[in-house]
Amino acid sequence: MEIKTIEILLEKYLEGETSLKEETVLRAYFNEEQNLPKEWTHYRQFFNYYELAKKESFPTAKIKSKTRIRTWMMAAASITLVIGLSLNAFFESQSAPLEQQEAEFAFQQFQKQMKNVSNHLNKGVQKVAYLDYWNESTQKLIK
Amino acid sequence: MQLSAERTFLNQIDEIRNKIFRITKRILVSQEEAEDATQEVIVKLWEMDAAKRDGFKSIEAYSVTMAKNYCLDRLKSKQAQNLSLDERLVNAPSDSLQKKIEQTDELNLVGGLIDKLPERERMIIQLREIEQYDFNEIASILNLPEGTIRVYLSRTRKKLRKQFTEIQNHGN
Repeated sequence: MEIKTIEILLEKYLEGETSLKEETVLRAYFNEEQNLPKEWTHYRQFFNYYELAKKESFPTAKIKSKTRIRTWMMAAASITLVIGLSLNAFFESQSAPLEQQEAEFAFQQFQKQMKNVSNHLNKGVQKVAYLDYWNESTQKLIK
Repeated sequence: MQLSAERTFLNQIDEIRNKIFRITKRILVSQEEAEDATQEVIVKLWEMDAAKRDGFKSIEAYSVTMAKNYCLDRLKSKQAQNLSLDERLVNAPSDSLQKKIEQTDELNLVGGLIDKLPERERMIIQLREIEQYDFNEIASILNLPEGTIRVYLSRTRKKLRKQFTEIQNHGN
């Protein structure tokens, strides 16, 4: 590229009068030219930066790793849940007969106790019957 | 039906998303805020009525305008302003470190100079030098006449060049 052309383009560039096409010429020149005049080296820094900045993209890796962690966590949680439920079911089936025996024993004990209580209570009621009788006689006397 | 519509949208949006991210990052000067802003804009685009969305001549120009407005609203809200200020303070390298960066990484220097420009100049540089939009596209995105865009662009190009050479001469 002829230096004179670049010089004219640079002047236009600084005035905000270059078209996108002309700016592409400048871009190519400053990013590729080997023998850059010393007074223009700073332009290279700018065009290099613009070229680099254009390539920056949204950090999708971040989202992906987040969702990956989330799926792992979900998988782990569901596995734990399944293991927990099956262990629970296993122990329940194992312990059922034992628990049933215990419950029956407790029920029988309870029945025995209740019969005892009932017997004593009936005895008490018989005694109270005398009270009634006594009550009646005193009523007669008062009258 | 729904699924294929979503896929079309996502394909369409993939490149636009990168663009929106770069532009929001330039306006907000914060990686994190730009990520959030980009997601917000994409969600807004997706929630839009599909017919309305497809009705736009250029979904890209529409989304970039949307992103710009979103960012300016964010900057206006005091909360966001405090946040970005804090982040700038945290990220600001110390003086000796700054010098090292200047000498070793001139690309960083260019980016830093752009980020220190006023909002409007920053946006114009991003839209023209990096996204390479036509003047009429920039005018419609920023809602300014083309002539004004050219004036701002010229002024900012000269200003950046002056600042860059000043720092370089200072370093030498």
